[in-house]
Amino acid sequence: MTDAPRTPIARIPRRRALAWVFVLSLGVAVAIAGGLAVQMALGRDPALGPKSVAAVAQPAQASPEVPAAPEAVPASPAPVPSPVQSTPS
Amino acid sequence: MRPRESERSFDLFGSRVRLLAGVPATGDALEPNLALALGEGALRVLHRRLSRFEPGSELSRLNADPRETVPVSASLAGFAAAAIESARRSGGLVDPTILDDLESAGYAFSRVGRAPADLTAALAAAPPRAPAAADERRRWAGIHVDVAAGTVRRPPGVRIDGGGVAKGYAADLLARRLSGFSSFCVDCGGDLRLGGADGLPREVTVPSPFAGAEPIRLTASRGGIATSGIARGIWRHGDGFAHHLIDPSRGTPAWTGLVQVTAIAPTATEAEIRAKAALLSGPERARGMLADGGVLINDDGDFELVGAIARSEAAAA
Repeated sequence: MTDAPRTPIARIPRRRALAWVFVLSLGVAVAIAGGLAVQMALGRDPALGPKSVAAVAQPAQASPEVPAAPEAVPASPAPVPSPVQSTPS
Repeated sequence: MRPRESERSFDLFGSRVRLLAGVPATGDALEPNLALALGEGALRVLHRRLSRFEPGSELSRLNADPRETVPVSASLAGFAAAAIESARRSGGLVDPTILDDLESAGYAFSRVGRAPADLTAALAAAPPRAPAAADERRRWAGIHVDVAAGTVRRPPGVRIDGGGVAKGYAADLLARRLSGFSSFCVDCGGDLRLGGADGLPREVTVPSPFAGAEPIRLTASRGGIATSGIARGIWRHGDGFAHHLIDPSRGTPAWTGLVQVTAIAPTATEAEIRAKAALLSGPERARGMLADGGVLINDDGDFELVGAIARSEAAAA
């Protein structure tokens, strides 16, 4: 009985093939982890899609029914202070 | 043309009160005229509590109360604490327990509407000039105020006079309500508290007690300015003259060589304390009482700018 002709891949020793599979898997894992790290660095939470990580970290915003106090925005230019007198008491 | 500040004027504390406010600069500031109207109401309530000329005022009732410890309102507790502090800071010169001496000198009733006596004639008739000194009995040290509990404890019979700090205290209280405007001024009969979110400079004039003399002009954006003088509160008494600034060590009006002192300080209360303490100290020691500057006017009409005012005048010259 003669041996069947061996394909090129079959000619690769089993241990070397396992080593290649391990190296390729490691490379894929590193690539995925790197991608996640880049997304985090850009301020995106990969688990929440495009939502900003900073926004998630913020406390809940005031609801539309309870608006925050308006900031200082004078409606007109500040008047020049009027002169006063320090009369004796 | 820029708009003017909102203004409200009325008579109170035996003098003219003037409230000024610019435009709202923070979200919680009220409309200016409403804020000033509320301010007038607050000052009127305070006056009713602190006036010694109204028998029904809370201060009059406290002074007449035979108990050693008397429950009082928060306003009166704060005022009494300020009065004691005025004595402590001035080394006893601004003494809130000189009411008996003040009444003996002829100031037992309000002098509103009465023309003062002639200053020059009073100075000519006054005794030799001498600095005032503290009363060694230190009766003010026996007054204890518990602001949290709302009580005043003092030996029965020791009466508290509000004249030393009442207007400055009132100006400081109201200033807290007006801090949200671009500028504000609380003028309680010449005891001023200035401020505002924009830090805008305001011109302050100090009139001379001598007829024909030019007023002195200052500029300030915040803090307190108060003037203490004898000219507007001088009256004939017996063969001579008297006024309302009592020398605590003698129990009589003080003739120190100074007729008027203006003091600048972080608050109106502090300015009022410094101005009175400086006038009572006399020309030699008055400068040391004016840590933030001021104006001294002598018997002869000469005046001296002290501290930062003098330096700014020198730089402008």
